[in-house]
Amino acid sequence: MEILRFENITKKYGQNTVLEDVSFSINAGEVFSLLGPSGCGKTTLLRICGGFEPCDSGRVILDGVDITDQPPNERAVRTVFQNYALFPHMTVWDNVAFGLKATGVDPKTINEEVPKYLELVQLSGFENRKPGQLSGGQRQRVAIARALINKPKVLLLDEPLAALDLKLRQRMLIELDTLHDNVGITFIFVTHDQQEAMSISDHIAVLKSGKIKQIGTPTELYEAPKSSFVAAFIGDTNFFEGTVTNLDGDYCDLQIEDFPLLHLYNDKNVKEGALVHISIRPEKFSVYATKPEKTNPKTNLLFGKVEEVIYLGAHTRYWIRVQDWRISVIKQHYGYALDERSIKWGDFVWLSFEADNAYMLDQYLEDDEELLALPDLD
Amino acid sequence: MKLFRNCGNFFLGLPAFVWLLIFYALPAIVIFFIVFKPVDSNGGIGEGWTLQAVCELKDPSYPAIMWRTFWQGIVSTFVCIAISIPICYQLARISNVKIKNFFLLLIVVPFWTNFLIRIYAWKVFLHPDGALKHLLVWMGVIPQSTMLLYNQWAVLAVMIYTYIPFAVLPIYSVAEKFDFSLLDAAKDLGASSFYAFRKVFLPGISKGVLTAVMVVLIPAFGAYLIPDLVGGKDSHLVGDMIARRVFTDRNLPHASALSAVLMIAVFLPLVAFIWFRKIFGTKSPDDAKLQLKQQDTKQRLGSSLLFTSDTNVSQNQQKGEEANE
Repeated sequence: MEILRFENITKKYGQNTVLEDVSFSINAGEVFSLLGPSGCGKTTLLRICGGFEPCDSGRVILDGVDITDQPPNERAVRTVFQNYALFPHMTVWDNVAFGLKATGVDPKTINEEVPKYLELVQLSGFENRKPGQLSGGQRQRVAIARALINKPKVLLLDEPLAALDLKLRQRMLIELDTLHDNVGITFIFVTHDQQEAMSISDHIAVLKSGKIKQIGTPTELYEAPKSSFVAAFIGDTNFFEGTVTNLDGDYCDLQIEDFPLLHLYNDKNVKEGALVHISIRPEKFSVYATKPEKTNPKTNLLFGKVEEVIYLGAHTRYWIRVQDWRISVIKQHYGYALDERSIKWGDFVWLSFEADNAYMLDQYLEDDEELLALPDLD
Repeated sequence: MKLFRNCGNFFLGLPAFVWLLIFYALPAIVIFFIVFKPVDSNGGIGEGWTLQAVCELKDPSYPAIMWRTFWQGIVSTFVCIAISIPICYQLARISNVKIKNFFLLLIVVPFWTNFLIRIYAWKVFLHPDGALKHLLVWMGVIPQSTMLLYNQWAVLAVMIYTYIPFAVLPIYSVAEKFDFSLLDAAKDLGASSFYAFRKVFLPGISKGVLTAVMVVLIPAFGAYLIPDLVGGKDSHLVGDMIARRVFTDRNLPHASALSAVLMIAVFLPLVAFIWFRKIFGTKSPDDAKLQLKQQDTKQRLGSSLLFTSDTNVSQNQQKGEEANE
């Protein structure tokens, strides 16, 4: 069921278009992430939703009601601000009770509700502290309790984890997820961190320069990115450009300049002779020190030289030179890594990947160069 | 090391201390002495000790003057602050630095003109033949016989005019640092603009307002030039009574007695102010840290596994502090 819908939202600051004709809807009870690099308009969209920023055109529909022109205090939407914006002169109790007091709830109900929400965010016993006496994680929990106490239909979280250190960020992410399961309110989560978005969201909208690039579940975005931007922004990937040849049912061959012929699944039904761009995720490759048996005709085998090895414990990253192309590969260590024959810098290795594991992109943009470039190792 | 640092602080503070001692504390003590001295026939100070000047304070006209000084001081302070707060709110919200500085300049510019000249400008403005009088009579608001000048209302108006910049500057300095996203947060939580202003903005700038009260109230209690120039027979304040006793009557002990009364009257709110700050002001950071430590210890005992990282932070902090010691 739909709870929030953006219809053709456009916002300009002078000549600068921050949001351009943005339309999408969000289901009730889900965690929806707005993901994009800084300056992509995600925070502006959140501020339009919260009512802090008017939009130039378009409508915001909350639960069937047009709230575009409502002031922030009349919307059933609450925000957890990036800096938390706790009232420094008030105690934790007063901060949490603020929303109830401001809307004229009777003191008896306030005295019942506040402890409940403090309990929910595990801050019981902190009632009389001022925000200045709390740690970052505690402050954030106050901000969340304060926002939830009015029972909003939608909770907006503006980069809620950006101010925390890495360890705490991971903890708060789990905590946010648990909290979301407990309260069942729709969360809209703004972030520039793809891992955060991937781990918590039901759906993600990827934004770039004020436009929605793709909306989907984390798996859809990762496995089936429509554009090179999405593919590169979410996780690492290898891009190839080539010409389709030799159609064979659902499969085709891809002729890439200075590269072996690849056998691929033609999911876009591309015609012969067409120029396509494909993305192959690093973990789709398997690395072998010796030439493996080619058991499946759909398996592609490549031969290359290891240019860089980064051992990360659970897995190892390799950059492998195959003719003129440098390929990023991730090898998971399923077995006991000390017993395996290790692959070292300068080794000649075999790579394999299945025809089904590559993905053809709809869109490949030249202006994304910087995002797509692999780190220069020379 | 610590001793040396304290020595440094002592020498840094020394000039200010000497200045206060010579130009503030000593004259004040001298005034309190003169109260108990007789007048000599030349208008100077006579030999011996007497309570005559204190007895002269029982002058029947004084209670009215003191009361007027009191209420005009309070009212002008209140009005100055009531006008300054919205000004500072708007000023602080202006994002364009050039425009902001321009408006600040407008507030400070009157200081560049001599105080006397500004009061004379008011005299011209309020004069029986002045522009305002003619306008109001022409509009039928007041009859021809009403005097705009030489009464206590003129004194009050000029006092408010004079002291507004004194109120604006300390309030602005605090308002400028105010985090306006707090007002967004308040509105987001369902508060009306007015509720947010009252419950979030005003407490946020309360320190500036307290300072403004002090810097307006004290000169307002001591004002003497304004009642002297735009006031009439019935609008004397303690300040211009003192001036009269010194320059016209040459009765220094009497003037000193009035000054002493005024000083005590100004001193009391100052003490109240400092006391108020101590009780309601923020505690020193050390206190807060100590409290944080203690409460974290408590929390650590009762906290769930999920949240232990928070306490780890304070644990590390604690370790660091111990290491420093």
